[in-house]
Amino acid sequence: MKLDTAHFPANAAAALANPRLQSALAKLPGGLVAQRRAAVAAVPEFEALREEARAIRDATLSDLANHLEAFEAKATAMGSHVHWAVDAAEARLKISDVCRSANARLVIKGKSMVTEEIGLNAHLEGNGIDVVESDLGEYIIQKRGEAPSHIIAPAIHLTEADVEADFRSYHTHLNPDRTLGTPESLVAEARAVLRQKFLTADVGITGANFLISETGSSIIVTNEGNGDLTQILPRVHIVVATIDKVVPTLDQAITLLRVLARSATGQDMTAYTTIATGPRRADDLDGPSECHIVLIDNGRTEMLSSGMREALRCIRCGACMNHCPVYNAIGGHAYGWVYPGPIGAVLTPALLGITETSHLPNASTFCGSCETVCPVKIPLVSLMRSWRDRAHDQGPRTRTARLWSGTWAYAATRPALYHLLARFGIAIASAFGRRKGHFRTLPFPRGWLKHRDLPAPQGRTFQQLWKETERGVPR
Amino acid sequence: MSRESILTRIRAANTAPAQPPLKPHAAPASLNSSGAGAIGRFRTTAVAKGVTVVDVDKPAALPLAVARTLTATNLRADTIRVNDPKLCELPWHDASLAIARGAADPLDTLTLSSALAAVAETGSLVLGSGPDNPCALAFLPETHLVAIARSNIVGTFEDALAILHTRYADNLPRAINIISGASRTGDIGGRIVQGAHGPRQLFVFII
Repeated sequence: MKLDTAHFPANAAAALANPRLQSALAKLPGGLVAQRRAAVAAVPEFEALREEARAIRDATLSDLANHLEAFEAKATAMGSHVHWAVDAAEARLKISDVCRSANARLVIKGKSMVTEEIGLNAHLEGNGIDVVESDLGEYIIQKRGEAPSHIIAPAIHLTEADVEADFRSYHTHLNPDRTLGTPESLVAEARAVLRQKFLTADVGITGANFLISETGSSIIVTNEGNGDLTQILPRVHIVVATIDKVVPTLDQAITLLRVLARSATGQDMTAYTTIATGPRRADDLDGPSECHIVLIDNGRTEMLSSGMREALRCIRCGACMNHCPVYNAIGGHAYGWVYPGPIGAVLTPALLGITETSHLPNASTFCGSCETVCPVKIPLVSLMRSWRDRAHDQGPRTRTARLWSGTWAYAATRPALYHLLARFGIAIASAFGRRKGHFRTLPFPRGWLKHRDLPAPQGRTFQQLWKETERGVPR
Repeated sequence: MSRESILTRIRAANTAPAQPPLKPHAAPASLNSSGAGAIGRFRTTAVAKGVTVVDVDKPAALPLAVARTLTATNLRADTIRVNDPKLCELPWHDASLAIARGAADPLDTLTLSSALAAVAETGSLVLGSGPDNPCALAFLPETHLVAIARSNIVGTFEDALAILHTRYADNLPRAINIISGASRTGDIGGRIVQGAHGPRQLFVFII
């Protein structure tokens, strides 16, 4: 998918000024936050489950090669074809090769973020294959030519009225006078249109929430059941997954599933959790005749050794974005690539390089809500901070930014000078602002106070106060 | 080759020794239940998901219970798609219901599967695919009926895995479907609507 992270500041400003987007955003994440809170409160052991989930992910990553080999061996023994791809281009080729040998003209897809990441749909369409997304949210945005704005609620940026207008313009074979005023009627229409696609598709492509080494299975979770129809009805099923999705045992997958749905939507279990193992058996009456699994690296092995290993724990629940004040204000599209929110601010630079993406780790107040709710305890704030450091060292910076950070660094590495300047600066600022307690205007940076308060210092520096506290001076 | 290059890069990055296998975990105590407690809890958690739960004394009473339930919910009852021999041999004719055997057809409105286990912690049903229970039965119709033996209602997913292990050892069937309520979506305007792609309604008959 096209990268637009370089224009993050302009995109974010446009998102803030877009009333339709703001009204769509106002509705949803708050609901997901409240639902998660209730689901977590219902399980007193939730913190222990998070810790267990983290440990499972870390232990698996520490021996990833062996777990992948075990998965491949068992999946092959159960009749699946396992393919490996180092990058997006190779993954696209391997998938289109499978489609070509299946003589595929229509591909139906379950929801999959990695296929967005590798730009699969455009590639297949370029090869003359029709691709239809079956997750309702993905279907809506595919028709609009948009990217998902949330990893589990891809059309969260649209209102009911937007969808109705879209359906009227796309489904021209239906009666133009039909009633479409409710979510129920829109869902019913999409169900009927997509059911025909399911029944005629030659290949079904799904992602995988997990790959299980001990059984050679893929696990997908969906609420709509679209992932299941995608893998049951077409003759060929292709599972597309990155190498970090592997989990050694079903037992461990249970723990991950227990934290996944609760963190994502506040459900204790998603409506459909499917453990799929190989193609249909000789005596089965349905299911695909062929099952292919494409294992993709596309930057994950670099993350293992580049200080970004902890981000590979991610199980894609979306809780970090639901709880992020920046995501809630601007939505997902402003981030400019596939993965928005805090996890996107960590993953995108890791997968695409920091040069083009340096705005993303800065799109955070470091409030830490994302870390607090992450079901696998990814230290998102310190990972974003690490990208800020690297961006400062390598990324493009304005001369003003370099001048300021250079000046500050000069002072900060000379304690005597720093104390002197701090005492001097604080004394002046407090003389000007003490009466009101905060500043109304500043000589610079202009505009800072438009959206923020700046409390006035009260006369002494933090270090002076610290020393007094150490000496036992009462405050 | 891509396979070797990926595995080599992982091994080069994993310089620290692999962490030892994790201790086998137990389900959180608050999610645990057994016996009559599990049955009661399953009823509560399933109903909370919008599932209709019906008790049936013995297998032979299932057809009549199905007919009554369908009538009570204003569902047109004529033919039910079912392929499990144990369910097919029941006296459907006595309840004025016809059955059709085989895999699900896109025109089927009503299907019946039997579940391997039901899980009290979340009100979920565990179905294993095979000739008796082709898995599209659970996804194509508007209304899905599921029969579960009272003795196969367990407390947690760990308990359900034990049932799968006894039945399949290490070779799972093509699909294990864990079903927790009817098909739903929140993708339009954030409101939950039942019956996105799969069944709008789910009925469970505890035998």
